[in-house]
Amino acid sequence: MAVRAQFENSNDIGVFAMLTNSYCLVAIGGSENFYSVFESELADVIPVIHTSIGGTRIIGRLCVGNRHGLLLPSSTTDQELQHLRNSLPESVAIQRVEERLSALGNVIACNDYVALVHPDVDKETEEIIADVLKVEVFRQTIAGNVLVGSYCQLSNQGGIVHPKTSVEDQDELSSLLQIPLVAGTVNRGSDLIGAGLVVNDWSAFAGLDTTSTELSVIESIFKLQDAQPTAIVNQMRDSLIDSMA
Amino acid sequence: MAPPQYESYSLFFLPSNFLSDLPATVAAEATVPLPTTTVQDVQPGNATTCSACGGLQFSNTELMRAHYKSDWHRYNVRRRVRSQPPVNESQFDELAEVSSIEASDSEDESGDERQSARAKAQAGSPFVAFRLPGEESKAALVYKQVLYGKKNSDVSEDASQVATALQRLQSKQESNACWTLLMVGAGHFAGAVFDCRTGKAVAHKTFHRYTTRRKQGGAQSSNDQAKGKAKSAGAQIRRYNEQALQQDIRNLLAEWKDYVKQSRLLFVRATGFNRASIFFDTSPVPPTSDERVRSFPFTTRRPTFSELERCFKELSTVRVQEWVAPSEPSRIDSQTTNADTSGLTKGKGAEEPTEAAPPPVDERLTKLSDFAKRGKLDLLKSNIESPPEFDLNSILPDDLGISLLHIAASNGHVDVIGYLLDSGADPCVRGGRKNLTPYEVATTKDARDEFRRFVARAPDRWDFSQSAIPGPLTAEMEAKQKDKEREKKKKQKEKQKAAAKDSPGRVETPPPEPEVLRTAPKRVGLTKLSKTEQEAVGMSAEKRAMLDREKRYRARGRRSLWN
Repeated sequence: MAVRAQFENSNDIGVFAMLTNSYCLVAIGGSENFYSVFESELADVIPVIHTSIGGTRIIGRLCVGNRHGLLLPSSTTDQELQHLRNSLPESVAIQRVEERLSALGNVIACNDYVALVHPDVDKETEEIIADVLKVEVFRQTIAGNVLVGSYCQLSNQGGIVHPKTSVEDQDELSSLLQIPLVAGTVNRGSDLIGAGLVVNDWSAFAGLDTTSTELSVIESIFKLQDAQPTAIVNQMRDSLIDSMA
Repeated sequence: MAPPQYESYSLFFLPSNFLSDLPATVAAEATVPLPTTTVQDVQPGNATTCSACGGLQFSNTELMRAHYKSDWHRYNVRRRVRSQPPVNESQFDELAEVSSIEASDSEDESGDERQSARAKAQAGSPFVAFRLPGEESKAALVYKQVLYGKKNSDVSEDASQVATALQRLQSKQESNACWTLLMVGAGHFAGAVFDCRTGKAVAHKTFHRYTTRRKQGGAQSSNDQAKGKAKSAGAQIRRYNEQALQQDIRNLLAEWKDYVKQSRLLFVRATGFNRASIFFDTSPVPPTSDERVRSFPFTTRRPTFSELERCFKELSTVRVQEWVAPSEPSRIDSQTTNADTSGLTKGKGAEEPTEAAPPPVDERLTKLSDFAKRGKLDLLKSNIESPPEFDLNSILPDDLGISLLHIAASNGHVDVIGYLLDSGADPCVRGGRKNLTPYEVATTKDARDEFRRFVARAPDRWDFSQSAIPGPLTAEMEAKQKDKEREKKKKQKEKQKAAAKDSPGRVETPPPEPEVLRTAPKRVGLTKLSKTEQEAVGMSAEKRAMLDREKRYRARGRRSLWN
């Protein structure tokens, strides 16, 4: 299910939250409203963690992660790191990255298997991304934008890219990522997909301004119509039983 | 003799004819080649494409994905962002020799590859080059640091010495020669002993401790020294880790005593407090003054074993490239004058001719811009008034294209502005990246007022509507403003007094705001020359590129400290 939410009157919820298949981070806000939206959707399945990064609330733009790990910018303090270490599941690797482009969420877009990164990211950072997040890393741009994290949103099921991405670029990206892609918008026409939308394999949260058309595109490309955390088991049941028979 | 192969040789296994012919052919060389990267073979097919590299076709997805990870693709992606056309593979290979393809080097928007190659050539070469025997058009390059220490750099003058140094390196004469490479930086340590014969590490060790300060950067100890000891838990952890790291390194070096002793050369990278962990009293590593201890003649990255391996390979490789005659002007401008009799060029010799290489800069203008920048009115005056007539409105020949008035305004030197205006400088001329008038780049209110005073003094001198100056400022107006200000202050004081006298519970209606006379609409968010622009005033494009590079290098150094 795709849900609409708002963080203190801002529709850019991707700035204040970060969602993966194994955990969810939300910013510390004045009201608990935002937090409870995530809590109600996710709390039974994955931990929803309140945190700041480097003392700021724009956690969604500063960090990047997936099921396997979480990368934090060098501005993250020891206390924050410790808090995250204590709150996240054991299986999630946490790593602080010394990268000049410190808004990792803006320069990296990833799912559990592949990552697109800003063309100017350090070689070392690229290696860290590959090691910690266990992904293949590709340096790419999206519709001529280097901030790949801001202009696209990926899950293992599919992805939305900047509305001005050409068809050829979409084809290339989609064969690179091995997921279906669609060019779209969120928040009533905003091209900042990463800022307006957070997704994982079975849920999505979009800004309150997102129209129902946009929401239906989101639901269809991310395959959220009947998605449950357990959907994969149902999908695989046939083949599992086949192979065990 | 084996058929010649012109790629690279191992320093320790040079062909024998190399050395016999050497003394006659040694020369220094200033071009710095960077390792080129090999890119996957691209075969025609129609499965998948890469539009960034000019619509390349791949036969399968594996090839395509491999291509997407290549440096060539990365380079083209960056070009596409700057809306430049893609380069093909062979062009890229050529470019890779002159421009760095390392991602973190890419901040310069104006990054012209030719320029960077030239700037590098000017910076002096870390190589000694000699002609390949039998093949006059090829040259072999060896790092100077490998052949002789810093103290003996004059040895390079002597071709036969170079030959002996090379001869000494040949592993045929040495049974178990090895080199030790040590790097410490920002809490990381990496050390390895390489066997010269096999090129393999005999022993290696890396460790890391958390010693650098998050958010602020820099080592804990340097912060302690600068600002006194911080008492936070983090600071204590880092202080402890610094000591522990030092101890770890010392223990390791003690263990490696024998290796270090028998090492022919020791390459060390350690700055700041890190030096103490390598060069201590009982250290097996001899002091830096020792002939065996060398520094890395190129930039190194975060200390890791793979980085050490890379460095060893880099140091021990003799690279072969096209011979560039030192006196060939078409290739490298800076080389025009430094071909001396022995055919040797010194790195430091390259600095003098650089002045001649770029198009001649008007020296007087540069001088004047400097005076304007520093606000030296008397010097400026005497220079401008000295015999050869000077056009005050001439534009600096750098690519900012600003006038003296801009410089004075952006630095807020009121007297210089006044003088320049009075002697006929045009306040309507536009310049800088944002195409602004001098008034718009003025940083202080005083400086802006000076322009307006000039308008009052000489209202018909220029067409002030073009100059963005809002209006004249006469002496009366200034006096009036001062009066107003005084009155306002007085009223405020009275108000304060009254408030203090009155009982705190009483609510008082505030007196009406004193009406402020505005002679000009206030400009919101006045744009000024940026800091880099201010610094770059009067520099030629090339010099500015050098300054930029220097800055980036420093920034990178700072970054590597944090690791």
